[in-house]
Amino acid sequence: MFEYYVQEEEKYAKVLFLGDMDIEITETVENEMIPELEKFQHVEINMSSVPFVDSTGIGLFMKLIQHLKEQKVYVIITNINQQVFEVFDLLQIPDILGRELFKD
Amino acid sequence: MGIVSKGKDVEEAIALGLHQLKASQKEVNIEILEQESKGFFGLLGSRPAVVRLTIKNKNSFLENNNQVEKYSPSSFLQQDVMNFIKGAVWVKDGKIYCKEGISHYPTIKSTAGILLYKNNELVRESTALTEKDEIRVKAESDVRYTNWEIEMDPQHMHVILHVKPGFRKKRTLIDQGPSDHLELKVKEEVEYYNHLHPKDVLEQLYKLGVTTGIRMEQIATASETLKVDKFVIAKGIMPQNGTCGSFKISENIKNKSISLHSPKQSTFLWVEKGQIIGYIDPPIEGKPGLSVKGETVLPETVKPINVVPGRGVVSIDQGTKLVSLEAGRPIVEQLDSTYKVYVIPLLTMTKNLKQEDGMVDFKGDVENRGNVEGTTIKAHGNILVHGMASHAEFHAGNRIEISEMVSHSDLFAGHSQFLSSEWNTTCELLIEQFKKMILAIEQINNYPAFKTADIAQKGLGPLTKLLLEKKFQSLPLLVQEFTKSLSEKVEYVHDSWKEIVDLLVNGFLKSKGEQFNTLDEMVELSVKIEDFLVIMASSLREQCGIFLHHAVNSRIYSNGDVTIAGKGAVQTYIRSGGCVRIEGILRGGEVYANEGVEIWEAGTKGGVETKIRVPAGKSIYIQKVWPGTVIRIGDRIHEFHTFSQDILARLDIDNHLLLK
Repeated sequence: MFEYYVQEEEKYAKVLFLGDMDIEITETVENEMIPELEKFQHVEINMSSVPFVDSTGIGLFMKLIQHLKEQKVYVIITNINQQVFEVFDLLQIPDILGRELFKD
Repeated sequence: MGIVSKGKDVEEAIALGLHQLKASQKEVNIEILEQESKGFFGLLGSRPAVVRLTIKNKNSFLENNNQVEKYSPSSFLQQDVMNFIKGAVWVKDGKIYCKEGISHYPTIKSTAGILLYKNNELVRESTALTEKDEIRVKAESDVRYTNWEIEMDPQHMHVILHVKPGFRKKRTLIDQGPSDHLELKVKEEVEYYNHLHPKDVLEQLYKLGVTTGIRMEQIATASETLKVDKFVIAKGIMPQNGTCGSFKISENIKNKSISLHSPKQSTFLWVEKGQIIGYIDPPIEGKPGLSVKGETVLPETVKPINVVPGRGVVSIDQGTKLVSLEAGRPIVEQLDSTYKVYVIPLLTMTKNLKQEDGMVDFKGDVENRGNVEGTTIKAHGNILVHGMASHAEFHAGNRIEISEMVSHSDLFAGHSQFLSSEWNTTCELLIEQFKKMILAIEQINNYPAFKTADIAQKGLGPLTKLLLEKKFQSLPLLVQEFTKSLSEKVEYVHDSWKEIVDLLVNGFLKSKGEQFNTLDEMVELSVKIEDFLVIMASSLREQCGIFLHHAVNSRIYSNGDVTIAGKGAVQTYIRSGGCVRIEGILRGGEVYANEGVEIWEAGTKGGVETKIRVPAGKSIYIQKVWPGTVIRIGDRIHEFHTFSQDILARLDIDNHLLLK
């Protein structure tokens, strides 16, 4: 079960992802997250509570980030779990999205 | 009559008394009047043991009729004093007997297969016995009934009966002489017997539906056997396979030889106009068999062959014979059960060919009995030149043979796009990247944070898409180049290329479509590609080749072997999909051969640079090598600085270059 929480401060949004980022999140990302987050100027995604990912989930995540970047939203990704980062690293996701997005 | 005897302990008192009476222990009754006492620290107040010995009546042992049987005098007459004191237990005729000792009770230990009861209680380990105890033993006997089972093969051609006869294992106590401690021993006797009734077997066969080929005599033997055995109790009739259709080349086809100037003759099959090339045999049906269930078992289906008469060939007599319509070289190509038969005609020219004669382009073999100067010959089959060639170009689908010197000329045997180093590099990189990708997928599947549930639903598509994004971004380009090279010369390439190209394009070039479902599919394809490349290279190598006498300032490309049998090659570039063999000198220029190189003499005294290269795993042999010669095997390079002889260069397992 995946949920996300948005804490708004004017044009700044802090987003907490909670749960596995997998094939189940397809509709959440496409129908809810993208329209909701593209309104902000800054988005900070806290990934500390994402323990597992699958390839579809990663694909959707990349789609989200790339869409936000196209909309000139400044995105950072924080507190990513070490084991999830290993998966990202093998797929060279940080090289595709930009390593500067990933903050501790 | 009796005496009273004293000693420091009971044993000594008895021994002294017996000595006095001059009697043996069995001849006396012993009564212990007082046990010895050690006193304080064995020093103060110790008292001796006191016994009374009375000479007894002979049968006195039998008088005391207790529940436990007593020593019988006959078995105990020779027992020593120790047994008398410590008591004894013994086994006779399968029964246990016991006698209490003066100071001890005898002990007994049971054993496996024996149930020992003392006063109706089961003794599990050891116990001490008194004469009052009621002792009972029960020897367990194991019984196993006959086991049998019936097995039928999946084709219903055999029924096998496995029989394991039953047995009865009888145990009896082994007689043992008196001892103060006895461990029971058993003797086991096994008796085999067979409970199998043929009626039961037949009933079982009936249940299984077996009706045919039942062998009653085997069932009877099985019901009598006393050892573990198996019997074929029903056997079907195997079908007899027929033969598939075939194509046989006529024995009347002779070789034709064209004598070239060099010692070598060019020899090939030759048919005249109207000659029978071969015979088409129809398939012969086999005979069906019968299963043990009475079912008809069909023989393997026999396939007819499909013969396609190609150029210059016609089939006659209801398609049983192939006849040539023109003289030429007959070719039979076979792929599974399809044969393509055609005749390659020969164009023979007797004069010298010059620039003003223009280009020769012939859909067959070309033989030129003179020289070729400043012009081009293109032939679908072979090119044979009896004279010399200069400033000329030759393109042959199969072989090129030129018997005198070749200078300032370009020669191509085979298909040029598979001759280029780019093709080899593309194939190598494609295989390498593909294998690395398989490895990466295996690796990520083992990462603890990676879930694979979506792969079962959607296949490997989403994951390959992620990998192609960055990590393997060169793979789609390699696939494009690979498929483009293959597609250009469709007709020359083995049929399996189409399937490989489809799988690669769907897997890596289409964003949505039939991508790989499982890792196994990927592994399977990578193996297919490798096999395909090996088959392709070897079939190209077989069909093509170049045979020359002497080459100067020329360029030679061949999908197959290149042989220079005369003087050698000077300042010539040679690229071969097979082996290069120079039975003379290689001076200057460059040689690259996929399968290895053999050269009599390489380089010059003057040190002209001469390069020779083969892939890793292949070797270079040079009889005489001069300084300035550079050899390269895989990624290892060596330059000779001194004259050397008998060099066999290759790589060892650790990728080191060996020169001997």
